[in-house]
Amino acid sequence: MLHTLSSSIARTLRRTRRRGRGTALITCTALAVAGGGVAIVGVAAAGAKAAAKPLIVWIDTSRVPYEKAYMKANPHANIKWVLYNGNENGTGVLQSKFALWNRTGWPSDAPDVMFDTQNYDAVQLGTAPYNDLLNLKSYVPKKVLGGFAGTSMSSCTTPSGQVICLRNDSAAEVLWVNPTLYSQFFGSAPIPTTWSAFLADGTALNTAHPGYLIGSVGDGFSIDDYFLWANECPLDQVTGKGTIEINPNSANCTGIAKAIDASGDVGKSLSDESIFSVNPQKVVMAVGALWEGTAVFQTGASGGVPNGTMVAYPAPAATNGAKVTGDLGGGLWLVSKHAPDPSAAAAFAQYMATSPNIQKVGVDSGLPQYVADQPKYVSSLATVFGDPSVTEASWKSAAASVWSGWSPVPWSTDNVWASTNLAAVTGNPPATMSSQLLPYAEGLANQARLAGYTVKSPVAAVSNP
Amino acid sequence: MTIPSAVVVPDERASVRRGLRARRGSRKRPPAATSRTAGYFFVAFYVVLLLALGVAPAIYAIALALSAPGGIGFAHFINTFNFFEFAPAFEHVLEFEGIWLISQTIFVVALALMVHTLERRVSTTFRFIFYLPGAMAGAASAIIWLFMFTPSGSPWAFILHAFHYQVLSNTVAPGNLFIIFAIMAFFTGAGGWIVIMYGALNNIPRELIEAAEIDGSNVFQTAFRIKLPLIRKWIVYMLVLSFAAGSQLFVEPQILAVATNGEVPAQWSPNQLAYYLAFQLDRFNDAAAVSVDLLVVGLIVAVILVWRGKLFEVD
Repeated sequence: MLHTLSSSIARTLRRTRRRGRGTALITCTALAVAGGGVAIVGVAAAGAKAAAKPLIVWIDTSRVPYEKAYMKANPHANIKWVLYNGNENGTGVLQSKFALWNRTGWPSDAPDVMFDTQNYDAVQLGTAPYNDLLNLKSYVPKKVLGGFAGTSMSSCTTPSGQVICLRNDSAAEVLWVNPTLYSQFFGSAPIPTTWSAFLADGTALNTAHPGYLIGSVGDGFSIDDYFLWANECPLDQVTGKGTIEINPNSANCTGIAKAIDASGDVGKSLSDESIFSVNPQKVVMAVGALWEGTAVFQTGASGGVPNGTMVAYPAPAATNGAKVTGDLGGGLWLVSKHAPDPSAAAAFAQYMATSPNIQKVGVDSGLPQYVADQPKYVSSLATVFGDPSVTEASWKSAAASVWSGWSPVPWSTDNVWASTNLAAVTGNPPATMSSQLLPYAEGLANQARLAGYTVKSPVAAVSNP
Repeated sequence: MTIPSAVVVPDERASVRRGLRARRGSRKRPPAATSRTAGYFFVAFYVVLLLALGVAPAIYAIALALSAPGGIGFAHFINTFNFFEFAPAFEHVLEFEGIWLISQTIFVVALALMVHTLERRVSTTFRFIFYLPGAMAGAASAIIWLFMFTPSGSPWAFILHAFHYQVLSNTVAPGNLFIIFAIMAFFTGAGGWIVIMYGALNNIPRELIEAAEIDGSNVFQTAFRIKLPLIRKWIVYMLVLSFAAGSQLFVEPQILAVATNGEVPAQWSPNQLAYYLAFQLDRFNDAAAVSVDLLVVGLIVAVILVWRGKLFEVD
């Protein structure tokens, strides 16, 4: 009897305790949910005129210094800054939000101005079926629109001629060289200016100094942005509204692929690992975007190269002799067509993309695409990179010589390379580049057709599914 | 891919109730009318949710998918069917389900039967251990496995190196993906199902097993001849739910797609393809057509399994 009683008390106690824990858990979850909500919604906001609707601006974490610089220059600005992931790596946050809002109506807290890290996004979001971006032609002065370097505004121009974004920093590619390592291995030999000379240096490293690198094939962007785009290989050329030309048999594609294959560098001096994972002190030289000069080589950081080491040279000329280069990253300022005050939103985007208060070292992480801001930007980098005059000249020429035949499209060419070819070229033994051109072209053509494009190609396997 | 923790097959519920009643013995039964009202009351909640969150979206999807320029038509079905990505997406999921469902069924049933022969305290420990990986479902498991599959960081690097995998892009090569997702799904789901199967085994009347033992049945004979047939419906039930969950595979490939910067394609599974069409290309009608395809496949398989497995029959 006593036993039964005590056990029943114990059971009751246990039950109570369990219920208590359950309540605690629910409270915790509720708090966590509330906390998450605050993190998303509660961004610095509201200036003097709290009654007026603030301008809503979406930026990524790398653009937080822009916010600080802007608010310092305009302390009473009525702006609501919202952090999001910048649409990075084809995550398509803007695409999914816009698609929903186009069905349900645009909410009052929809962004007016957005920073987008994906150069190919603007044309997709600015054309059918989206049509959600403001045509800046009637808001931004012609002189300003013409002030961006080279062909950089081509990724902000729709096939019908609307200007639907402003470029932030240039992401043109240069040849980053570590002159200390280069002279150690190659003496006073000149820095390569052609792909074959560049790749031959890699071949020399393979046997004489294994472990030292001339780049990597380990990322989705390594081959298509660094080699194919920069060699005028026509795999992503929009020739008209909704029409794309893809020709993997072009000599501009096969030439560079054969050169890579002949060098035997893949998996050796062209590392299998991502360029961001290799030891920066082992990189003799590498083709990369302007911003990679600090990001890849971790200039000045522990484990990276010391300040004043890396020097930018022009990227190797295309196998057809053209002095062009590719492009990787950068960023765009987008203005929503649904903004309640389009002229204010457009003026804000123009300020962010062109003002020397924003486009300066310490705020902006790359060379301003707006030419007028470039000299001051480059001169304040004298301590970061070696040989400032060479670096400066290479940067400016690169920013103006991006080949415009690699068009902005609604799919990520890097992701297609990553899912179709990356495993093969990082395999053991690696597949040849020449064997990868056709599957890559087919992958691109499939994405194009999925997005509603008509694919034209002299190669039957590409033009017909 | 969540496993409902308290699932009861209709006629099993009856047997549970019968068992409870028998154990309660002479205690007075509540009046039938009251219990029936309470039953309706509780079911009503579910019915409301089912209509709002299950049936209504399905009808909306069917309406979207069938709306064509000239009224009603199959244009969106034909359109999506002709996408290059369409057939491979279904093939991927079929390969994944083949490996996953077979391995899950074999291991779950075998482990549950084994655990059931152990002493109560030991078996509790084992069930807990089996269940642990299930605590990391969906997104969390994808992140953990991403780490496990990275040759430079994985504690099991030596296994990956044995396959000549030096970098993550080698492990997540296109041909390996269905195995990778099957491994993820197995460890996320198997533990929960072992616990459920164990519950089902506990429903087998003690006298039946004792009778078999007295008749000279050894452990294996008891397991395969007595216990296995009695939990067959539960196995079918597991297959129905798992097939539906597996054919809608989404979270794992989607997270790997982002984490590998696109090496796992964003249209690997049919559900991903539907998401991509809707939210990357703003083509909701095509997306709805793919979703309806998935619904139809899931329904057909469920009907076959329920019918062949005699799931709703009361013996």
